[in-house]
Amino acid sequence: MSEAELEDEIFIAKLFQLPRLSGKQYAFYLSLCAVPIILACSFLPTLHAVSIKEILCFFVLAVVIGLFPVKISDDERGYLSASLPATMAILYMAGAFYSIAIGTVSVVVQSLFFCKAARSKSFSQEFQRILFAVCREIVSVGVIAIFYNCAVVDGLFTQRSWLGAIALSVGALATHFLGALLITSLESSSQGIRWDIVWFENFRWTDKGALLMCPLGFVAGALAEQNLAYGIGMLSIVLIAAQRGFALHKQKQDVYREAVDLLAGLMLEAHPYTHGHIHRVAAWAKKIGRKIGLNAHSMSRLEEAAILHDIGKVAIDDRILNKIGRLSDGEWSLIKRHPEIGADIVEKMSCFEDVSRWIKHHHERIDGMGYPLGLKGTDIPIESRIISVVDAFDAMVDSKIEGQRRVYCRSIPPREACNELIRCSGTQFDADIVRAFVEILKEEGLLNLEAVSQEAEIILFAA
Amino acid sequence: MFDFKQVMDFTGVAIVLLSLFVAFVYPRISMKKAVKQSCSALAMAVAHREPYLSSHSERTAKLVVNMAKMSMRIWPWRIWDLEMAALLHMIGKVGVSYSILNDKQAPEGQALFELREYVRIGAEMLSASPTLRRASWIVAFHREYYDGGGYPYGRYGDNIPFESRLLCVASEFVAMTSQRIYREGEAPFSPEEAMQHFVEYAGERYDPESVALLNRACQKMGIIKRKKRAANLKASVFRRPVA
Repeated sequence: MSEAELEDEIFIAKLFQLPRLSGKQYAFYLSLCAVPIILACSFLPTLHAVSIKEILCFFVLAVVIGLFPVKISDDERGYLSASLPATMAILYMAGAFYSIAIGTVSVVVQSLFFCKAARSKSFSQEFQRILFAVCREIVSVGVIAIFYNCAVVDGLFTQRSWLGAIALSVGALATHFLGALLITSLESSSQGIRWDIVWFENFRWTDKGALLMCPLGFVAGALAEQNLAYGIGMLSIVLIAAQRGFALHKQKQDVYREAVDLLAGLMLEAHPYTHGHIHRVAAWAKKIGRKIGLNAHSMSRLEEAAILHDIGKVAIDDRILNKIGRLSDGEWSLIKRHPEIGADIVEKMSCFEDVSRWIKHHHERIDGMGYPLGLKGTDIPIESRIISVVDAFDAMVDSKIEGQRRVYCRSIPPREACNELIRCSGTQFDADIVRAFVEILKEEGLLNLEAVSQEAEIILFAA
Repeated sequence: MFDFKQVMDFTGVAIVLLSLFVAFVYPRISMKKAVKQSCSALAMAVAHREPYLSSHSERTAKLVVNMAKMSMRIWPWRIWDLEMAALLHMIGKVGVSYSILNDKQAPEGQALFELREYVRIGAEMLSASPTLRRASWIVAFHREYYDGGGYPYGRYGDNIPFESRLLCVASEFVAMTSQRIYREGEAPFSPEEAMQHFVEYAGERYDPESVALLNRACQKMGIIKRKKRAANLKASVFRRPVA
């Protein structure tokens, strides 16, 4: 990588960095956003008189929908429910206050009954979590509500025209994204992670869903005003369908995940000693990716790539891989085929196209002396460079960590392995990635500060 | 021109239809694609380990699907499971050591014993995946013979799942008609010769119904020439198993 490009990357990284907040500060700022929104909404005029029956119907719908969330990931935020359109419909019919009230109650019900993973925590933690969820809901619904009320009261649109409805849904969408951005930035500063990664991990699905859900809510509201049963019926059909669609989409992702597990199982059958190796490499690679600020898409695929990076070795004779002593040229040329074979295998899965490219180049060297193609510098994908560093490190220290043995090289302590990485950075490895990796090792305590030899320190931190 | 009420009605119906498609039709299509891609990646991994059988899985899958389509005993939506099983029936071979797989002699004794473990290993690996549970069931019995002389369990007759019987015949047919490493230099069996072998053993080693389906499928795919039905085929179809 050239100097200028390096500087550019640092600049972008700085742009994404926000000041770091603690958890309590985060809660404080979030409530600080939520309180004025609630106040504003309660003072806003109610637009129309609505019967209690209509409100109750939508309330029940929102709560029931909230009770059947789709699990999208394993952490406590990993639930997705489609209660947004119900609150939107209420907003259209009854105004800001009712919509926020209903949204809040449905969120509370949802977080009380689901998210069992977090059950083991103490009461105050539980309370804090619910407070977070409620504030988040209030901010994202409240921003839309205020915008909507102001627009109608100021006579920007007449409410009962279809052009007005379209304009309103677009406006609602825009404000919804604004709310998501606000929460994302708060959260990213509290956890010290780049905000685009936070968005990608937590809000990608809700925001994509909102694209459909906001307009849908207004349509349902309009229909319910003419005929309550019709509006409610349509909305519930659509919501059940959306719930199912999300669930099936999740299943499809699971299928690829399963395939990766099966392929890892293949490795376990063919070459048992590499098994611990690939999982350690995956864990290290993820940490490096976070450290150097890899983009969100690469982050989500990096783990799979690291697990599958040696899959091509299933095609190589175990007698060659386990041979003690020097390999002949013929045997080396066989071993050198494994990145290409691995890429060939992974390529079959269409969503792993770039993963196959990374796997193909994970034995390239920065100076162009690697295989299979002999690429140089930044021509090698950055993910391949990460995998190559971690792969080399883990191969060197292998037996120290799990008591397993690589046959063709002896194991050395992490300190020496680290010095070796530093010595080869710039020729075999990417210097930036090695630097990030050494920092991670220090944070993990695998490497005390004095351990890295003096000249290595100079090479590392003079740059 | 456009009445607000009418537009809203129309939009509501359109959204309902669209969401039903999104929820029920599209995920099924894309899911099948995902599973099929994953399975062919796995098949590819095994194919690289045993280069002499590189296209074996795909050819078997094609053949067995054609057989299943002509059969009256298999539900249309089960054919897909059978296809996945055919793609993956060799997956256990990664657990067999490289030297045994690529030996120049036909395996014997201890080597044969180790080689035969591949069925058990493959079925075990597939059963870990919920999507492929049915396929793992098919793979587990695809080396059983109709008279109970197969491995690993020695099941016979109708105790072997119908899909496994189809897969057994199809994979053996493909193996016979392709080059093997321990028959290097010799020409493989021609399809007609191989078919003759199956007809000979139908009702003993092979399920007669599967052999009949194999014959029809091969004729339909143009692997063997369409001709009058072999004289002894009809007789052998109605011969029952000995055991």
